[in-house]
Amino acid sequence: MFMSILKFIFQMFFLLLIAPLFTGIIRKIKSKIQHKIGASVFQPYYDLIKLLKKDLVVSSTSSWIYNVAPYVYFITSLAAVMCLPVVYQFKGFSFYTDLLVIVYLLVAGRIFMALAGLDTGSTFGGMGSSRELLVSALVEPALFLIIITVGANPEIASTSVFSIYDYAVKNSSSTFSTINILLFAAMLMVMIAESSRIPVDDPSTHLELTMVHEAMTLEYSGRHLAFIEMGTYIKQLVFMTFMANILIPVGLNMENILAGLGIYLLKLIIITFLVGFIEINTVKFRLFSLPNYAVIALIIAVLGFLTRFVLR
Amino acid sequence: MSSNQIAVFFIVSVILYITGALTSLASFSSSKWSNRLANTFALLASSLLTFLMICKLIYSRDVAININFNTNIPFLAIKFNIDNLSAFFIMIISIVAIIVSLFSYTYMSHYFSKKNIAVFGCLYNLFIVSMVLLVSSSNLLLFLVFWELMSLVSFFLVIFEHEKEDVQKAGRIYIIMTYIGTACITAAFVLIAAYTGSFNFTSINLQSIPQGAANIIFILLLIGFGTKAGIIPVHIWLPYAHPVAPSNISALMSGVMIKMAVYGLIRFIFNILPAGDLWWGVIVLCTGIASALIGITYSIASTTNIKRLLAYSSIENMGIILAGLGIMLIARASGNYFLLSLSLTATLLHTLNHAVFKSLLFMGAGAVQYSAHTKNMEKLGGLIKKMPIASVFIFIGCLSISAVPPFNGFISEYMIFKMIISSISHFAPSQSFLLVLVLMVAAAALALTGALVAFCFVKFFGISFLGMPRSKEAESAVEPGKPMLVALASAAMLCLLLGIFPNYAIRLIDSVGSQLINLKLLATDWSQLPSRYYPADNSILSISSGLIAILLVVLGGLLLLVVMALRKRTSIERYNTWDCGFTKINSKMQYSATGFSKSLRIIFRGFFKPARDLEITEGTAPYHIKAGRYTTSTVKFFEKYLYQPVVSNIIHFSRKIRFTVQTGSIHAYLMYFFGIMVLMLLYYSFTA
Repeated sequence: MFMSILKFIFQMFFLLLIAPLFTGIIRKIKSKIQHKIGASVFQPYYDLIKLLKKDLVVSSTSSWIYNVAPYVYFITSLAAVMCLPVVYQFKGFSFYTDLLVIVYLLVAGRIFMALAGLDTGSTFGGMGSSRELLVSALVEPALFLIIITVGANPEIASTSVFSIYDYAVKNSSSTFSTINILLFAAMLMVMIAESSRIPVDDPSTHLELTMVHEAMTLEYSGRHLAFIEMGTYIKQLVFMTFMANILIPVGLNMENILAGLGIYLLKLIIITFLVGFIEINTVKFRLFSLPNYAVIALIIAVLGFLTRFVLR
Repeated sequence: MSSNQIAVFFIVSVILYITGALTSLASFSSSKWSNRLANTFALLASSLLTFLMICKLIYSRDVAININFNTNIPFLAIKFNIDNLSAFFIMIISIVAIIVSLFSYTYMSHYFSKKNIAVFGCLYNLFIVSMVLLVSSSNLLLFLVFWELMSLVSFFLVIFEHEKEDVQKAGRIYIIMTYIGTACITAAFVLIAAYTGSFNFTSINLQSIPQGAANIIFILLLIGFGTKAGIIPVHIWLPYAHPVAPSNISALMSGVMIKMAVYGLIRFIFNILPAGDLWWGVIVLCTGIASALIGITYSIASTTNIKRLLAYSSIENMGIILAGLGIMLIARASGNYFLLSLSLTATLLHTLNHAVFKSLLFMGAGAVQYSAHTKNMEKLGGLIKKMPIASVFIFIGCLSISAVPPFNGFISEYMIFKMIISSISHFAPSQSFLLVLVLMVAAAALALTGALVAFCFVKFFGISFLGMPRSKEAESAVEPGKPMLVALASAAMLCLLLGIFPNYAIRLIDSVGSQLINLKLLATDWSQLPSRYYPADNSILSISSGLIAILLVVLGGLLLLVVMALRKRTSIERYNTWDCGFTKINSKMQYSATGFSKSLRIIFRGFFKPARDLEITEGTAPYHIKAGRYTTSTVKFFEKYLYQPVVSNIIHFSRKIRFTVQTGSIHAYLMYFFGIMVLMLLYYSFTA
């Protein structure tokens, strides 16, 4: 019992540690393809440390919600990533390891961030909140269909991570089935939208016409901003882990935890490369062509659903 | 507590309500006293009823409580029968009534010396007691009597401020829609009585009813009760009536009265009609899903009135409840008793949860209106600083309705999704493609609805409570009085408790399920089920929202330690919001409620048909603008394309026949009398 809690906490810190890395890798890939040298892959860590050291400026219009939101966002993202199977599964936490709970935890963080955007009374904040909520609402049907396609499999009939994980471990031969590939593609699109990346949002811009997530957090500074950035990295990791360990169930349940971590990291880096290539090859969409983007994700998820439940 | 004692105390509480109504009337000379008396009696009676019904659901779940009075009116037997379903709904009524009565103590004070409080107090008590008696009556005619009483009393309560133009319009629409609904229900009851020869529920045996008649009864009941529930497309009264009623009445109407339709649907379609075809459930599911999605998009896109926003959100929640009912009917038609009990639990739990958080939100809107004197979000803002305590409770209501764990909305929405997942995994192997497709669409639509609810309540709370005050009224708002805060606090507390300990509520619903489904295994012992199905217990595959709460608190505590350590090294400076190097920003520059929802209006522009108009008055020179007026509007789709044509056709038709039938000549009218008499004589001579 004690050992398993220890392992679980170790895993949590491991996830916290690696979460910013992937953003660094994506930036590096983009720079390399554009024949630039680019910042080190560890630049996000340096930024976080710098932000934690800085003094804060808080808007005098804001209320307690503004001060609480970064931490709520961080905690709900962290709790969400702990729901997912990484390497070590701790049965003691089964009370919340459920795919639907992940979605609701992320909703909680999103509500707080959107309210914080409105709290400062700035136009940018409201604009960012409105857009962020819209984007996540648009991709929500695809996300739920992916979860339902995974969970409503008559042999699982549950969204509990344990039953899904056990099923995946037993049926690892069906890893590269049509269903998993379709769901993976849909999830990739959902992930891009939810973690505010190109072509849905551009995380590196501060132009009012294109900002979504950045507009919402524009007023933040210091450690508040550090926790928001960290929350976003972790949120990205939630979706990447979902793709890596639930939709590509290879190399799960390893005896050797370090080997398991290695395989997990390898899968994440492959996904990171994929995201990097998509970013370099697309441009940001107009806000009102995002419904098309969301519908494409939804259609791919529907195809996955139909392949599993109708074309059997 | 034995069933006899419960019966006695039930009568006592009904008498208490009536005493409240009468004493309130009697003390008409003092508004203060009639308000106090009405609310005190309602509070006492409701507390007693809550206690009684919880006792009934836990300790005497296998017996029904009968109260009979003899009358010599044909067909109308005054019979009350409280089984577990009735008890559960009485519990909902009385819990909400307790909270709302507390709220009314101060809330009504701003009507003192303007309106007749004595009549209001009387109607208020009558409203609650008519609902209590409605769910406990066991005779079709008695049910109709109380249904009418409830509708009429609520109509009078809606038009409490009848001197206002919009209140009159709302009242007209409400009463017309109510009577359309009641007509359908009456027709259905007449059909039931015609096939069974009895008006008493308990002696009704409809197993031999022909399928065609059962289908007609089903459709009539769905329209009839759907009108009260505010199901699209017969929802149009709801967004008019709820905003104009006093907020305590809106809380009761939205929290409880529209739930009477859920009771009616479960009681008559589920309990009395025989298991119909699969399409019954599919129809109910589809209308539910459509209501949920359309209701919430209306709520975001088409209004800046906080109470209208909540009214549309009620349409959305009733849609979700109806979707649950649809799955119940599908499960019953296909004989899957596990799915049946799961969907029954999810539906009733969401009914209870919605009653609690929606009455909290309506009371919150009432508190806002009470202290800021406006319902328009574009004039609110910054209230979190003016009413810090009330806003915390309203915030909890927003979190609950957005299904944030560990509040109560989360657990019931989670169960609704569980129910859909279970039904997909049940129907997928048996190759019922169409049904699986419907369920898939339902799941996707519910997911979108869930995300839009978050959007809607960020708009609700963010625009009206955060940022800077947008008007003088909002600036001068103050914290409402203590009884109002206590009411808000108790509702918020209930949201949290029902979220953390849903198993207690589920245990009460189990009693209802055991009586309705009549399957011992499911009701008495959930643990005998395959654990993978059961959503909320301590098995390895189920979640526990209480432990989620603890986990979040623990993580929060750890984070707090980290933040405390970081705090020592840094300082916090408070400064103005960044104004782009411009002059100091003012409240007009904030995002408005209309702007916040604009993106959604544009995406659903086919449905809303948003239009804008800019009128400019030019000054002495061209381009020198003196005044401008900018208006935006959206189309009310169903009113314009469904109701408007029908209404205008009826008016057109009656105008036309007015001069051919009502000629104004006495001879013609005498002729009509004669003709009718001849027809009646002929009818009697042929039938006799």
